[in-house]
Amino acid sequence: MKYLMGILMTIATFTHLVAQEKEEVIKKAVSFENTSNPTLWIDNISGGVEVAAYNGTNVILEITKHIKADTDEELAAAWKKLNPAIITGSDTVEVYVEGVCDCDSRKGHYWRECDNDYNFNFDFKVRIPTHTNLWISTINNGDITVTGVNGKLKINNINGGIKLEKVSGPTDVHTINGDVYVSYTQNPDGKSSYYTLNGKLTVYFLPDLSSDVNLKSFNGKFYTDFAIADVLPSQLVTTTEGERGMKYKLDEKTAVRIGKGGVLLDFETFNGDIYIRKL
Amino acid sequence: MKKIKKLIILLVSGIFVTAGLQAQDNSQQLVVPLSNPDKPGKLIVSLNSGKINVTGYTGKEVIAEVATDQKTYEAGTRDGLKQIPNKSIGLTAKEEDNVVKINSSNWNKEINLSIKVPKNFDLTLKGINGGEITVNNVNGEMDVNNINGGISMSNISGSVVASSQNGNIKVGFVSVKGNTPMAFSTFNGDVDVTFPASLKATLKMRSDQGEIYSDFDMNIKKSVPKVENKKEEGVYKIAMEEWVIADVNGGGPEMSFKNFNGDILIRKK
Repeated sequence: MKYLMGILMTIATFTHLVAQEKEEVIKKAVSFENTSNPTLWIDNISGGVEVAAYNGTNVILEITKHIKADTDEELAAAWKKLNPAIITGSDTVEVYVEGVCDCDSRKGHYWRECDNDYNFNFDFKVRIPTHTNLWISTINNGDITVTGVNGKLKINNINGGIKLEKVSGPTDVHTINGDVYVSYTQNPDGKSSYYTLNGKLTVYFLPDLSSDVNLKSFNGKFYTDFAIADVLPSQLVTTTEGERGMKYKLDEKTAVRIGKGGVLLDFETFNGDIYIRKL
Repeated sequence: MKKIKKLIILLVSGIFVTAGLQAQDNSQQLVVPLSNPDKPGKLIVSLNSGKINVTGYTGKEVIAEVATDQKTYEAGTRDGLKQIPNKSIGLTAKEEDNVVKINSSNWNKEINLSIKVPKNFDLTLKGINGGEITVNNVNGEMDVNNINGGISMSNISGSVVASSQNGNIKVGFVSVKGNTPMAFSTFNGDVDVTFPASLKATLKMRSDQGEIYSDFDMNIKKSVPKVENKKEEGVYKIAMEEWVIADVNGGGPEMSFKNFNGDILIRKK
């Protein structure tokens, strides 16, 4: 037993000695050339994204770069390879992490060369003008939060939650493992969809909401404090299958009308409950 | 007096009309036209949870009707919020070369499926939980399988293979397709089959815990001992077959009837 403990202790000290970590905060400010309808893209892979509106015109970035590797050499190599990169178009600013898996993440994630000897994490803190469209995506180790922004919001996460507070504009949020929370300062004026596979989905609307709501869940339940004006019949979808076949389908969605109907809102979970709430 | 009669007729028809409307309110329909409406077709239904009811009619389309929940709110509440019922049916029908496949992507909710088919139609129906499979007034080859529910078929022509685990099997034939073997089996339940008096068949029957009844004149055959010789184990086993084998009207295709708990009833029409 003592012998075994000894081995375990050695392993423990060994790994402790070898693991190397480094952290740095990178600060940058970028401006949109054309400020009429600007869009900010953030394409992160590991780490959270926090976006807040402020009373200015620039995009102010504060990126915490954190890399962990087994040896000094590996750390140095990874530290040199992985960096946040910024591309500016006329009305677009795009921020992404360069060097991950020896590929440019903008052109799609090619995971072939992903035999990494290091762990990396980039946490984004961004301040942007209030009227900005957002396209934000991350995969691991972080939530996405957006506060006070008005614009088209397209937010994708995989292993983390999404929280949009005091926002307005057509919204498309999608995550796999995490809760979704949205609260509006103005009800969306365009088709919006909210999806989480494993998580709770809560959206707060203003009391004057008037929309056609589609709900779908495998194990979850649907709750609301809005008055349901009407329960709509399932939609019949007819498609051609193969050369001669036809497919007729009654849609799985539960469709209800709130107020007088209008804007289409799509809610879907697999395991979580859906809450449509009044502010 | 005449006036009263008219009034009654009016009243009665009024009731029928409203009943019809209500039925439509609570259900949704899938109408599936066939590629060759003049040829016989086949219906394949597979349902995890719910009842299946198939009826032959004089039309040329397959019409599937599902009863849906029309409640605005569910009884449950949470944090002062009302619960919206999940009406998800996810009913899909596919048609190719007169073969219509119907299934539901819904796993956790019982649905009541009522399907009308043209009278000459083959059927393959599969159910697991939630209720009976009923078939009325169809002519064709039928393969019906229900795990935790009974099978009830009436006004049938053609041939039937029906099996269940925990349910009664009841089949009533108008006419039987010649030279076609059939099988009726369940584990817990009665097997009750009615044939036309002219039936020509060799019946093979076995009820482990129950009795076998029939009003057909049966020519019961001697059961032949079954010999099993397992060479590698050096075992020589002789067993008497537990099947009762009998010819009706001179014999014909084999029809087997089997259950464990329950009786077997073979009736003459």
